[in-house]
Amino acid sequence: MDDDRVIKEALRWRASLPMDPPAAKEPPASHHLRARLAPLAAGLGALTVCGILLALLWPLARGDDQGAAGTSPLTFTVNATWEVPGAPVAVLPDGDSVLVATVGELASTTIYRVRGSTEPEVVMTSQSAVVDMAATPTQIWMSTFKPGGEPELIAVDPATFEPSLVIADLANPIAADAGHVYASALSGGGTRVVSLDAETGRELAHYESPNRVMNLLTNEGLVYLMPLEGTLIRVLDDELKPLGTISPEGDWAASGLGSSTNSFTVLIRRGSDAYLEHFTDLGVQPGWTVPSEGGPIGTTSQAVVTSNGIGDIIALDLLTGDTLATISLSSGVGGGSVFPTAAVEGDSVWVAGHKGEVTQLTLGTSQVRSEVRS
Amino acid sequence: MARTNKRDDLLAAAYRDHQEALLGLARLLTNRSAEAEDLVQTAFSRFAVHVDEVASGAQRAYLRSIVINEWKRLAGSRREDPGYQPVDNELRTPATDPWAVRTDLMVVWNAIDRLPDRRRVVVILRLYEDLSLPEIARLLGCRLGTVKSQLHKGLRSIREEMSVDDG
Repeated sequence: MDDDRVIKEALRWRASLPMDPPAAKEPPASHHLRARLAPLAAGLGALTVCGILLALLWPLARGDDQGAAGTSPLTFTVNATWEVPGAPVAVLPDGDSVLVATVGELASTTIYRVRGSTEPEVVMTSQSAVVDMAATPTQIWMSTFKPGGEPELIAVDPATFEPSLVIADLANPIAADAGHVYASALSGGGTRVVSLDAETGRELAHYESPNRVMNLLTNEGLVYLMPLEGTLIRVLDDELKPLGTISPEGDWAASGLGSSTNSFTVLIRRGSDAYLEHFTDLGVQPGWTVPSEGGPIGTTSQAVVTSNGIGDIIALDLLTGDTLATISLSSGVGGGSVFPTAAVEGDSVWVAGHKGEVTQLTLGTSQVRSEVRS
Repeated sequence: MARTNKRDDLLAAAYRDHQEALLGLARLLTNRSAEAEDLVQTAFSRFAVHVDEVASGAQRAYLRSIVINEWKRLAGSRREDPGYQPVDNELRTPATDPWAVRTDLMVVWNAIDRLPDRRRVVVILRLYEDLSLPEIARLLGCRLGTVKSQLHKGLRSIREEMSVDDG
C-alpha cells in the first residue's frame, strides 16, 4: 500500500508539472503570451498595464501628434487593377509587384507577376496545382500537389522561376521568414510541422501537433499554428519549441488568424455568428471584438485589414476595432490568411478576386493615382 | 463588446472547474504539455456543443471521456503510421528543471511512463482519477477482467522498478 501512495504522489506531481522549465524558452520581450483564464490578479495587472500603454500609445497610433482631436480619416485608394485569366488561389507580395497563382484546367497552375502599368506577365507554368506561396530572400517557395494528389514543396529562383529544390511530402500551409521555411505534413493523426533552412531546404526542427493544422504563419521570430478544430492557437519559437498559446474565449472554431507586432487577430465562429477578436500580448480578454464574416488579411501600422467575403475590404482600428475605412470590390475574396488570395505588405493591400481581378489598394490619408490595366 | 449568455456562462464555469484537472490527466497520458493543452482544448471544443445538455455533475466525466478517446485516437493513429516519429518538443526530464527536482518521484513516474499505453491509462485512471474498476472498464470499452489484469501487471512493473532503484 505504501507503494501505491508513492505512485499516487508521483502521478499528482507529474500532473501538476508544466513540462517546460521556467527559464527554458521565454518569448521575446515584446511577447508575453497570455495564459487562458489566468488568475484574476494577473488579469487585472495586465489590464492595468495595457490601459497605461493604450493611453501612452493612443496619440501616436492615431497619427495625432498634436494631441488634439483632429485625426485624419483613413481611406482605401485603388492604385491599380489588373485582370489575370483563371481563378487566383494565392498571392504573394514581392516588393513593388505581386505574384498571383491561378489554377486552370486539369489543376495546372500559371503564376503571373503584376506590377505598375505593365500587363500581367506569365513567370511560371506548372502541371501541379500551386496552393500556397511564401518568400525567403533568395527563393520563392510553393506548396504544390501533383495530379495524383501527392504534395511537394518546391523552391524556385525568383529571377528565373526555375526549381532549385523539390521536397516530397510537404504540403500547405506554408510560411517563411528570412532564415526558415515552415511547411507541414499529415502525421499520426495530427500534423507534423517542419522548419527548413531557407537556403538548403535541410530540416532544422519539427513539431508534432495532435491536431490538423489549417493555418500557419510566422512573424517576428514566432510561428503560429491554427488548428482545424478548437481555438487553441499554438505559438512556437523558430526552433519550433512551444512558447504558449493564444486562446480566444472557449470553444468555437477559429478560422482565420493574422498577426502584427505584439498583437493577434483571430476570426472565430460561435454557431452561426462570426467575430474578429483582437488580442494584445498583455490582455487576458480580447482587446476588442467585432462581428465579422471575413478573416484577417493582415495588419498595417494602424489597422487590421479584413474582408467580409463578398467583396468588401475593411480596415479596423488596431486599438479599438472601429471601422476606419471600407471599400467594395467587384467580386468576393477569401478570408485572407486561410484562403491566401489577399495580402498586406506595408500599407499596401493586394487582393485577387474570384474572377481574376487583381487590385492594389493603399490605406492612407491622401488620394493617389488610380490606374486600370487589363 | 462583451457577449454573455447562459451558454457562455456554463462553459466558462465548466472551464474554471475542470480545466486544471483535465490538463493533469492529459499530461499523464501524453507526457507533453503542449499536446496535453491541445487535448484539453479539443475536449472543451466538443463539450461546448452540448454544454446545455450535460448535467453539471456529469461534466467532469463527459470531458474526461473526450480526453481519453481523443488520446486513444491519437495513440492509435501514431501506432499505425509507419512514418510517425515521436519528437521531444519539450524537455521530458524534469531533473533539468531546478524548481521541480524530485528524483524520487521521477523514478516512479518514469516507470509509469514506460508502461504500454493500455496499462498506463488503467493505472492513471485508477490511482490519479480514483475511478472504480467498472468505471474504467466502461470508459475504455473493455472487460472488467482486462482492467484488473492490466492494473495488476502495470503496478507490478512499477514496483519492480521502484525496488531496483531502492536496491
